[in-house]
Amino acid sequence: MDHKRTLKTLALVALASIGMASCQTDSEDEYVEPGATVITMYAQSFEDWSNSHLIEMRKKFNSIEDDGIQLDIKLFEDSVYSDALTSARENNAAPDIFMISYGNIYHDLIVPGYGEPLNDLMGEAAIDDILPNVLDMVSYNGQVYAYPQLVEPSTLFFYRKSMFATAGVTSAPSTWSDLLSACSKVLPTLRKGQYCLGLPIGTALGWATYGMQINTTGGLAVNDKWDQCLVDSQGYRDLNGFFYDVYAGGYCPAGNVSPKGYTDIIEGLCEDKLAMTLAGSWSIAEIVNDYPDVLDDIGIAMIPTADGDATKCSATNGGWTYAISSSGSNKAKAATVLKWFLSDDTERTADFFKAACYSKAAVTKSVQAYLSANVTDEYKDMLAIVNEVSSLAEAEPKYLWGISTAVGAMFETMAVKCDSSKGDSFRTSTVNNAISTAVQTINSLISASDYQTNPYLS
Amino acid sequence: MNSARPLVDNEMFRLDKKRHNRFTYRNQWVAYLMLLPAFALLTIFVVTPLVMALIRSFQDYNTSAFVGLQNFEYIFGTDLFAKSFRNVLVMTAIITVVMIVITFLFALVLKAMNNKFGSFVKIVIFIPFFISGIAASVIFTLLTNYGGGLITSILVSLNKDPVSFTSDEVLAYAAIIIPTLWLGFGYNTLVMYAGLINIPNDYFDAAKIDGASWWQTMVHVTIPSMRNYLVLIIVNLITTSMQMMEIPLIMTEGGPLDETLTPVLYLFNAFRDPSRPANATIAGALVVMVVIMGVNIVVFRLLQSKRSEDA
Repeated sequence: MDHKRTLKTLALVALASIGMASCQTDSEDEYVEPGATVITMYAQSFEDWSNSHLIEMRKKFNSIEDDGIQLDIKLFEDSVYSDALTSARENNAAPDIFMISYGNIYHDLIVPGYGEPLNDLMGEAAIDDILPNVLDMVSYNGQVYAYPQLVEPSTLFFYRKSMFATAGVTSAPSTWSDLLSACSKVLPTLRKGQYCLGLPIGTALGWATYGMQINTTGGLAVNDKWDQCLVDSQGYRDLNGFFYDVYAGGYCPAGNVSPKGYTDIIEGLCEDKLAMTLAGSWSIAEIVNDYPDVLDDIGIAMIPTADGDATKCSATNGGWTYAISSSGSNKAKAATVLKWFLSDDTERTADFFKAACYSKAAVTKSVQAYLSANVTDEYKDMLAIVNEVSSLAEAEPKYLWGISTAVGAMFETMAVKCDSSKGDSFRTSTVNNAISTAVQTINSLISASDYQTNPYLS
Repeated sequence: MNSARPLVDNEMFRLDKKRHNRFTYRNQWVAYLMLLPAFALLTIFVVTPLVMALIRSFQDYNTSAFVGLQNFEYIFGTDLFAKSFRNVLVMTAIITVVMIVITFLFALVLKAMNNKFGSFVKIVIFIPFFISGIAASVIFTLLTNYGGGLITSILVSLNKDPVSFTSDEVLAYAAIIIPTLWLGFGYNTLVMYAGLINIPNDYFDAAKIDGASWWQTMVHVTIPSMRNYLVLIIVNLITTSMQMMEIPLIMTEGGPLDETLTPVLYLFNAFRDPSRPANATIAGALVVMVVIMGVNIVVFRLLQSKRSEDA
């Protein structure tokens, strides 16, 4: 082990120690099978309901008395999860199963070789059950590297029915012009501290607008090979123009109305600060759990788009998967656990989505069909929208994050520089200047000597 | 020769020197032993990291291969890094000027108090010095938070529009500069106060006899006598302001449009971004160190030349 590795290991051990201190375990009244093989699972800690569900599932799994497997789950906070995993690997104690997001599968799983291909381990039936657009997100060179648990569309449109009714808006807007019209009606009915429309701000503009970019421009900021900037196009001009118009109209708050920004922007809607907002599907669970009183007053729809075409992608799918460590010595047993959790029993897997108040979309055909058939009336509309948007959604791009931040900065420029007192020529020049800055930034990234083009095309 | 003859002065001096040298040589190892912890700590925590950083800045992070000036070329070719220097220089200039003016004026008030209340005020203004930048930022976030901070609440209750400290370029600067001034106000005021009370009263009496006005006394007596204290404060302010990270991170995240991004915050973000070369970040850290050292050397040189003139 060289010095660099030693220092890195020491640093990671220290960080992991902090992480272990913050990880949650729960071992009350749990059956311990004598002589069983212990399968370790690392997972990220999320909302209370999500953590409780995972722990409950572990208890159920461990109550099986004759499978020869004992499951040990460690939950880590987001901030230490990656370090805990790295530290375990450096110390030859990698967990048998670990959680990983779709966006990290290539760089953090496939490239370093940490993930075992699952086709044989999970079996043909489990693999074939995965929805086609999700299967693409977990596959590389024909091999599945992670078994999906859920997908979450990053952008849905939420609105307050009562505020719409007060303003005389009769339905959820489907186009940008509908949206601007709705905003112009809602604005006079608001008091100070209330706003028409919540949009992602700051860093979130980099990732929460992927769906809008795909919908408006037919693609993203770079071509499929990632070696050519596509931002200087009419589609991006239109999208920038949309951001300019909503901010110049005074319809959007200038800052975040919620503590964590876009990820909990739904708080603003539930607390009467916003009349409508873009938000991820995860917000549904937050509304149900934290704001049950306003649940009936909240409507959900696909986001308004330039042309209102509801058959086009309007969001990207993010979410979580589970992978099996390539260095593990109990891969078959780890696969048994994964199958028990995610594919053997449709009803058991569907329980997670019920606990999530249908705020996440199922990733297998069987679970999606089961949920559609068994959803209660209360959640029927929500589930339908989430499934519809999710089925059209594309995976989040894996290109350099700097490209996404350059695009986010371009949209942010509209919010910061817009001026309603100036005419169309100022609007045009603001849009053009922002585009040329973004193009310059992206081209400088592409021209860097260590820039990597799309490995999925090579 | 009379053995009882008293030693003459130069003989006593030779004897003392001899004893002194014997003592020095005999106890030299004790001195080195006592210095050892300091040397060891400096070596482990200052010299070694510095040397390692220097080596890494000429290497590829993954392969450790020698890459010449590639990391420095990357960092100098990054527009954002250059922009972060421009930002921090503006912030540093504002902070330094404002801090010196307000702390000097407040120190004058403190000196005039010179009673129990003055002691109480000194303690109160020094309290923020013990608070970390992160904690101070959190405190100020409670005031400036757009969604429900104190300022927003007051404005809304007055039927005014809330102001966003994160999306307005001027207010974003204010959101960083005000907590910084608040944190350093107590310490710098006390340094100024120490400088003021150390000026001999004779100077003021002489000025009074010569018929100098309050302003003339201030310009020709008080301020020149405070020169060394002012230099200490200026060097401190320049060094700490140019290394600012926590307050911009918490208050504005470097926004809007990277207008409040500082070099250290840029390096912090870059090091956590796996798509950016890690060793270029280290090269950037060395550049920041050299720039801060350079600025301080200029300030010290100015001080030296002034002392030479005095001499």
